Amino acid sequence: MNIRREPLTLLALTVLSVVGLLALLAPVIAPFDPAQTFEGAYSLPPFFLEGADPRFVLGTDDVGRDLFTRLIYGARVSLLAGFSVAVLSVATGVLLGSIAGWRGGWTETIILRVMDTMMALPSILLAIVVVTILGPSLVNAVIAAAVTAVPGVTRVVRAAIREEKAKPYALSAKLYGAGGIRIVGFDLMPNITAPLLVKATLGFGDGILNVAALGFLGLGARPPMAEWGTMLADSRAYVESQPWLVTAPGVCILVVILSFNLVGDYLRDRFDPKLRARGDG
Amino acid sequence: MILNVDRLGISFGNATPVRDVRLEVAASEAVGVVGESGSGKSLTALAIMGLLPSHARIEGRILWKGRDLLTLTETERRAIRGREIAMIFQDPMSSLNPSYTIGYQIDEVLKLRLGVRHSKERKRRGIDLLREVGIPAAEERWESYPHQMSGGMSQRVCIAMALAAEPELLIADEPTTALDVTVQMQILDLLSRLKVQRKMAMMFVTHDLAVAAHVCDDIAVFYAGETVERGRASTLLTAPRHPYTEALLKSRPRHDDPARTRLESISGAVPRSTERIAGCSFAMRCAKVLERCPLEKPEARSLDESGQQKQAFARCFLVSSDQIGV
Repeated sequence: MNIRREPLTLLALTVLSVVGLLALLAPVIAPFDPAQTFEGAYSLPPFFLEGADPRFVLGTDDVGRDLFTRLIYGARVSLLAGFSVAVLSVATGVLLGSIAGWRGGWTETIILRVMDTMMALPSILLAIVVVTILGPSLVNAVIAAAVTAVPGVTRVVRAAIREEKAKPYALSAKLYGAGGIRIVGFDLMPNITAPLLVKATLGFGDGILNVAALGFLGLGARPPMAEWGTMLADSRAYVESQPWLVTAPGVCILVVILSFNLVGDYLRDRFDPKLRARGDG
Repeated sequence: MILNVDRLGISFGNATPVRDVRLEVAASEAVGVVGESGSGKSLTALAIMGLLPSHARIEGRILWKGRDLLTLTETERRAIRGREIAMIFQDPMSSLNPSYTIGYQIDEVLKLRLGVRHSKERKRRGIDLLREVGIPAAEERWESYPHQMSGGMSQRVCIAMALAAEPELLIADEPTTALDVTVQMQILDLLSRLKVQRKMAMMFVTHDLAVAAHVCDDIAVFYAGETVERGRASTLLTAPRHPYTEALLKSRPRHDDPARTRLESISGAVPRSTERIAGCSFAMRCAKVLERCPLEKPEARSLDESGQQKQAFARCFLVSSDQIGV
């Protein structure tokens, strides 16, 4: 499968690269400071509407902050949050999944039952529970989103490890004296990266969404921090009078998550023939 | 006798796939273990290696150079496993890790298992090993990944890895079953050659009597988790004493006997591992069955083969012998 023949995936990758670059270079690109307020410039509309101020491309919010600047800084927060969620959940999931898949027996049963219980709860509810325990903050929202993502990763890793450990090369490694940790980490892990990579990419998008959702509920990033979910929540009262205030961060969330899902789907298709050849469809 | 498996039994819950296995391997000799699927061949091999799952119950003794392997600690077994006793498997394509080059995998064995410090020394020894098992252009192959090689080549690499530690016994678990017939012969010839050159003992697990006859000095015939007959390959193949061995030999396709157009088969099926067998395990399918066969268990009857230090035996009432009960 050639990526050049996948216009949607290419588009998604371009979007992610642009957003990533904007986020990385935020202090250089953004015209203002995200917390800077402009007196008398409250709730200005974006450039294509009447009454726009040429200084504020996408207009300003109700306290006179530049929307474009805040969106760029928001991308920083969201991407970093999504990345952290992906890393945290994959790390934890790999650990738990490897133990479950390798050890088997009651260890596996306990780990899997706990994961099943977590999966039985709607992820946002579980995230709210976690944030309620830890207290609302961006870091805690990331931890909460990671916790909700762990069961999915654990199950994928456990299934892959179980399958790989039955192959003769794993037995062979044991034969040559390798211990459990070495076999799982060194011999089996490289052979399960395909499903893991797909899971991590999709988890990145889910992480952004969950952190934004917690922000919207006032359980994530605290104002005045520029974060897409929080921005959405702050301006939802003006949805009728100044619809651009909610539209802009909403579109950002939509586009970024859609892009992650498209890339994830592409990777899944890409690795699928190999997965099918291994017999797990 | 470097390996002596005595009355080995392996059970999982109420299933007993290995009931009474007896096997002797002399230094630098090849013993063929022949039997149908589920006769306990592979489990016996895994038991010798100490690679059975932890919930397996094991009875009997596995004497390795006089020490009972079953009484050793895991650390002691690790010192033997892969060093004194090596093993190769049925499916060479999945016996190598698909993520690493074969050079890297051989290097790992030499470094971690044998503690060869210098990387140049390891590479030299690794390439020597590849040459010894007949891999052409060994230097170039060093950088190849398993998927770039054919099944025969992969099996040669597996053999090279097994040889790295200069084992005294090589257990080959159906090493040619997954290969083409022509490649099969090459691998068999390679193993026969290595056995002689390295003075290495071999336990050759196969379901193919012809294959066993090709490389082995001794043959043990397994049926339903028991050794039903054991003896010198030449004697056993020409004058089988147990009806099962006889039936197996008859059901071989032969090209030198055009008069035989139909292949004979053994009717019935192997008893399940969960069944309790009171008498002879082969009684239900035996052409020469006696009245007492399904009721009474025939003991292993010694077959007199003069000049033999090992005991040849058959587990059948039809074998007349003065020395009953080996």
